Amino acid sequence: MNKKGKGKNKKILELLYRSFDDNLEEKEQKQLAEALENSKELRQEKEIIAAQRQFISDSAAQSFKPFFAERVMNRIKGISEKKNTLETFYDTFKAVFQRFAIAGAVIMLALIIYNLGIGDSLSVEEIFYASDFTFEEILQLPLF
Amino acid sequence: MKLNDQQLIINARNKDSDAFKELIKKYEHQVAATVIGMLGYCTEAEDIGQETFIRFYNSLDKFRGDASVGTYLTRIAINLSLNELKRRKRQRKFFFSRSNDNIENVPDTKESNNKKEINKLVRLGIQKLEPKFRTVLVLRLIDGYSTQETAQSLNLPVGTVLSRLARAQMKLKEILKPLLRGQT
Repeated sequence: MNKKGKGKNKKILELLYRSFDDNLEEKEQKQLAEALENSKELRQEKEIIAAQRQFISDSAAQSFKPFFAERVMNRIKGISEKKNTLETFYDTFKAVFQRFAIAGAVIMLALIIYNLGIGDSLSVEEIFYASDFTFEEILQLPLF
Repeated sequence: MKLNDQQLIINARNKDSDAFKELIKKYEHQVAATVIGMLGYCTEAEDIGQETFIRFYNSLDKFRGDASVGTYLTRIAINLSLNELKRRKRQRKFFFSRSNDNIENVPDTKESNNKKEINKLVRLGIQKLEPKFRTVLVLRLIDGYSTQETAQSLNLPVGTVLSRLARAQMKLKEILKPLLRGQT
């Protein structure tokens, strides 16, 4: 078969495949009908395509293993419980931290009041009892 | 009284687990057809099926109903299946692939006239296709979406879907030659 003939055959074959999934234009429909009438090979090809498409449609799985819905629901429940556990942990941590923060703030306030009571002025240094130290001295203080 | 999808979704949003279970039962076959069509029968297929519904459950509040529940689930299932195929491909780079999916010699239909056997062979044949061809084939011929709907789901032009469909069928025809020979 020459190049032109091969190209025409390829085009007809494309039309044949497309005819299953798309609406062909009138001109294309005519072209395909004519080709089908003249070629036994093409008619066979059409049958093969139709049979194959039927095989593919029939091969569709209908379901997963039994009790699929129950397994999904169990997983969802598990995820929700895990999420709740994490949320509970976060809430507990937040509540404990809040208490520590409040206690810390109260202690700090008490110290400030105490320092104010024994100090002579209302400067920041007096409040934090840091007037006797320079910044370098503070840095040089032992940690423990 | 049977509730429609919209009512089931509203109930599921309000933590009614029976409503969501009803949705799973209603769409299990559709998700199964998509996932098993893409991945074949394997343990991963069940996991992906479950994950599809879990993702849907987690996005219930965001679901506005622009697409039908079936289409929405199919999109999730296709994306998850494609991710799984990518993971398998990566894995294959490091390990030898399993060879049990080799169907070089599809038996003649006379030997395998059992419908179950034929379905299995067709599914194995589909597994041989590249993911991009497999996806259009599954959506169009297994899930039964129209060409336009398939194109919309995959964000592809209709022309691309048509050419991929044709090429997928041509490739599959070569793989399933012995099976098809007995049918014509």
